[in-house]
Amino acid sequence: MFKKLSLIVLLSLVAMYCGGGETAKENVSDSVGETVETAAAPVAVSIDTFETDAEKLVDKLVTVEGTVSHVCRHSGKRMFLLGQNPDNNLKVLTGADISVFDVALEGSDVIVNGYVRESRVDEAYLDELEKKTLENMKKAQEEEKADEAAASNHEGQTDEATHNIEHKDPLQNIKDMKEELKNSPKGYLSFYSIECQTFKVKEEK
Amino acid sequence: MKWYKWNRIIHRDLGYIFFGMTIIYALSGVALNHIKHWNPSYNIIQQELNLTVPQPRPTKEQAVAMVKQVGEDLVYKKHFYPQPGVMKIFVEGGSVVVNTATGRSLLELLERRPVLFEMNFLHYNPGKWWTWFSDLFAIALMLLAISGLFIIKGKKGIKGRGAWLAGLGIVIPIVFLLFFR
Repeated sequence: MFKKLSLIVLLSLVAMYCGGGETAKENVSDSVGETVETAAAPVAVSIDTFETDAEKLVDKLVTVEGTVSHVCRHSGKRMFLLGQNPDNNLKVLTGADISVFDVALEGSDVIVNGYVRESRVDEAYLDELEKKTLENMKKAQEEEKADEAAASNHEGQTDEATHNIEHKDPLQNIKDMKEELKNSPKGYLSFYSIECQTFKVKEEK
Repeated sequence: MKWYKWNRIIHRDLGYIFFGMTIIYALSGVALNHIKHWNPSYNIIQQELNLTVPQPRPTKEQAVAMVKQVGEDLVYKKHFYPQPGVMKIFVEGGSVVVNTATGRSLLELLERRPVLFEMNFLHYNPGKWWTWFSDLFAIALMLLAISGLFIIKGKKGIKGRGAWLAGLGIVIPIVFLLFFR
């Protein structure tokens, strides 16, 4: 009985995962209105113009080149690419076939293929985020008082200028977004990123 | 064959097969559980320095020379200016953030924690086939747990002490849900 049960479980898992082989595809509508996926060539985009072009490219496959300025230290699931103008950067998230970005990519020039994704932020979201941020900051302050070892994680920061690169005040960020939201005709803010399908490091010439 | 003999065979053989996976997920699980207190995958070494910064803005060659000031064995990769007065130089294995006005700098080097880095990488699900295999592992853990209830007969088994201990193991997470959710 257990042999049959194990066999059934194994076959179920194989059927579940072997049926959905994913490659870089684009969703298009067929004649009955259901979405089907077909292979499509990626659209080349520039990081420097990405913010203005992204709205038209949501859920489309794109290819982009840039320099990796930061990889999330803990999860490795996010990295940021710089454009020709270092004021322009692009967030790249891991996708179905890439679970983590190596921190060693920082400083490397990469070519990323992926889908443009949009996150919408409205006032209710920002209010909730502000509330949670204040709670987390209060908790963190209490933990720092109780645990001096946690405080030592912040040692080694030279001064405000260098400290602030990766430690921007989260509350100020929220205030800035609320201000931007007031001026937004859409009633929400859009943040665009790329869900990475494949990437490769450009060889140095 | 009687069911309890099958039960023992399943428990024994699944235990052997998934011994490695259990160690990987348990060790990396503990490491990742304390992610607030440390970086479980990298050992981060930070050092404050003072560098001589060519004005007004270092060129690439000057940035390479600045890296050599920090350490002869460091290899320059790239640099950029994230904001006025700040220069970030990427080196192999880390970066140097420089206050270009004062020369005060922070060197940060990252070293992979041996074994733990690889375990955490697997725990984070590196691909579709690994997802499939770790689902199998999860099912095996459930079978191990259920079969484990019936390994021992008598008053130390599930009809005696075992029932109390299993009950305690169920009550604890319920209490957490009630009080901390």
